[in-house]
Amino acid sequence: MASRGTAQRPNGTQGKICQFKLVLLGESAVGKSSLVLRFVKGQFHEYQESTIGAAFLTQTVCLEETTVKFEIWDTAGQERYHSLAPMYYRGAQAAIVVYDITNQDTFTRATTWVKELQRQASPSIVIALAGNKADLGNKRVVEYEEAQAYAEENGLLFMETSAKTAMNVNDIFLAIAKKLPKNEQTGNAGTSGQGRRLVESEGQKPTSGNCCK
Amino acid sequence: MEDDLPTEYDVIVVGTGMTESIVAAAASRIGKKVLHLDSNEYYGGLWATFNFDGLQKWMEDLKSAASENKDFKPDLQDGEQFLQASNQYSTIENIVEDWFISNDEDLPAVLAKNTQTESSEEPSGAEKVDDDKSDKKDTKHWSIDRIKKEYRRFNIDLAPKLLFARGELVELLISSNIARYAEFRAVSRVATCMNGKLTQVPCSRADVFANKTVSVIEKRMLMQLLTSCMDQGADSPEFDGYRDKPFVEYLNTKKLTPIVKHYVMQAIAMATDKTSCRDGVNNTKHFLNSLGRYGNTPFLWPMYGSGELPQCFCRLCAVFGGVYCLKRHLDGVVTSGDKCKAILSGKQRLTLEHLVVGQGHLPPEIVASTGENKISRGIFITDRSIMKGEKENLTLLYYPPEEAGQEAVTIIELGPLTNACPQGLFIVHMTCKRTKTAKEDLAYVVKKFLKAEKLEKNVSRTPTDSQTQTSIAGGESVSKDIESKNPDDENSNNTMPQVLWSLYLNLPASDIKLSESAPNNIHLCSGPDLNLDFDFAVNQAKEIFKSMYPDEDFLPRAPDPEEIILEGEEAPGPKFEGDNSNGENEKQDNEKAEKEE
Repeated sequence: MASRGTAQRPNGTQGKICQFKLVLLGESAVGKSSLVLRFVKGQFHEYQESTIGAAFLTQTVCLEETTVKFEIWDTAGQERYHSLAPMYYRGAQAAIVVYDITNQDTFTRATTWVKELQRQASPSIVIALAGNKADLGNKRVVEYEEAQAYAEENGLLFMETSAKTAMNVNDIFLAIAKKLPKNEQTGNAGTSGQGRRLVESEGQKPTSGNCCK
Repeated sequence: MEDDLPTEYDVIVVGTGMTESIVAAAASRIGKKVLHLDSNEYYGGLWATFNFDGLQKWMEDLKSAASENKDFKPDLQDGEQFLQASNQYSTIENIVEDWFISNDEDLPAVLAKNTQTESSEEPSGAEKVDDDKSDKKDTKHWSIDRIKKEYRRFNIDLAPKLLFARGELVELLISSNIARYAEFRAVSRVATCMNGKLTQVPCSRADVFANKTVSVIEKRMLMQLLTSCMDQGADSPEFDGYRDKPFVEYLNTKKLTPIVKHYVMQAIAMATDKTSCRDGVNNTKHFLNSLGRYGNTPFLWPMYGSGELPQCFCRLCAVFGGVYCLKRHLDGVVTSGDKCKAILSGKQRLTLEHLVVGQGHLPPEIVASTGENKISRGIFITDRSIMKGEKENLTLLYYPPEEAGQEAVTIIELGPLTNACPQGLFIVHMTCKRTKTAKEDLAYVVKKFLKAEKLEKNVSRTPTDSQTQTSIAGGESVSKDIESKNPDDENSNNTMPQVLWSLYLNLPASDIKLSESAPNNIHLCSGPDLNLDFDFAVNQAKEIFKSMYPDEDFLPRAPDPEEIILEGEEAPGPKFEGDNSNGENEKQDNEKAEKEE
């Protein structure tokens, strides 16, 4: 799904833009939305309600050669009663699986989400594990080493993050951006070809040029 | 253990079929509190798409669920009545599943050896299957084991449907901004069977003029006819005196040549001899209207199957606060007078203003008729396309009845590019109105286009053929090879697609009706209908929504991420090297503001 193009970068150089779909996974209340809000809008709300109407955000990260545009999908609460739709994973090139370092269950669930991704998502998906609420170190129950060992075993990126203090939030997205393949093959990840999105403007132009023989 | 749900809602939707999901999204979108339940662990109900394993599991569940029958004696208040929900599975009938290939261990050694040597010549585009060594030897031969092993690469529709490029659903997906959740592929050819042979129907003006099978005079004839259908539809004076007569009668007066008449009748209008002129003209208009928007046919197919679309609407519903809970049964509804007050589900009493129910879940007491237009379905995994092509095609074929007692059959053939199946295979979907059982109803068409016989163990099919159908790189040269071997026998046993696996089933009718005495805040959603597209479901959802909320907008455009502003937003986004996204998020999102009040 990565679409490419050239864009005028702020510093005046021409760069390649790669767009990637990134999905968030994890138990309710581990701070999935908060991570995205911190990343996209630079905000944090202590008593963040489940986000309404905002479960689809974009943010751009500039690397040396390329500009990576993340299309970030939030679960929209569908994980609350274990009812996440498979379409959520379709074509996702990256995922952040979030747990709460002060809650062992959320870590156990995170490992289930990783398995789910390995089962359902594209085989080439880049997965990052985020131990969120790192600012609550005094209440920690999930040890850093335990999570890191798990991440290493499963080939995941791993960081402890805090949406509240912004610790490692940009870094984890940046790490994913660096790990994503940005070559010509990107668009074909997982499938032999991708479909088209329907947009308003399309259809005005006649297609006589590309008709079959 | 079941999670407890909040207990009060404006709208409770039971079943995640297409209509239910659209209504759920529309209600949630205007700020109503929506609960959306499904007793299944998957989305879509009878509209679902399964991978191979999921489909097997679905069939097993059908068998075990048929015998399930629980009795409920809920606590009721004065004047209340309890109606037990029906068993959603009881309406699926005549399931017949067959394999036409063998297990790995039954494959003769000779064959395995054969393929091993062949595999070196494999085109570079061919896929690598896992890293299991044992797979290597049969990269080209399909066994039962291999299909089961690659179950994830299949997306098999219970109710496959296409979208007209300017049909109700495409317009709705775009206007509501739900289109961003899904991806599509254009149907690449509309085929028709003429004099026993499959040919591609010229769809666009350019196609028509490039076509060599019709003469210049015929082309003019065709364009003239199509123009009169396009301009005013069935209301055009051109059709005076014919509107309620069969379309074919009108066409006969136009002195069309057989080829032109065939194209119009069987491919464009998809009409039988009984189709009225009004319907025929309207179908033609619908077809022509949708041309030239996406690809060179009027049709689109949703990537990963039709079952993705209900999920897209569900996601929008969830994004606007809808609560989702799968694997949650509707035990029954509590009514009082002419109102439904609540449902019982998992020991909880959930109250509601409106109940939207998929047809399989309705209590039998409030169903007036279970409908006439039942559906026969056939699903086939095959080893090559029904019609040879230079590239992989997504094909639509309408096949009218050959003799009395048969029904017209719609055939959709999907290749790997739609994610319906792995490289080297095709999925063929057949759908028609039920008269007998699915297998009997479809038999005449299956015989015509597919080789549904057990594949002899010692006969090697030329698998290179299927490679040319599907591989993009290096296909051309092989294709010529084949051409020289089999000059023209289009429908001979050698070139007919071999069926590896088939499934027949009968789905319930969509024209089910509620009884007069049904509470007026219960809204019925039909299952899949016989039409090629989704218009029926979209229109039904619109009607239901209008009857619930007559003064509200139906699925107004959802904001784009860039337009969403969150409470107290002033702080700039994170600073990245060269970040220039600040200050672009100023647009106020009215819906969001309303939501917070």
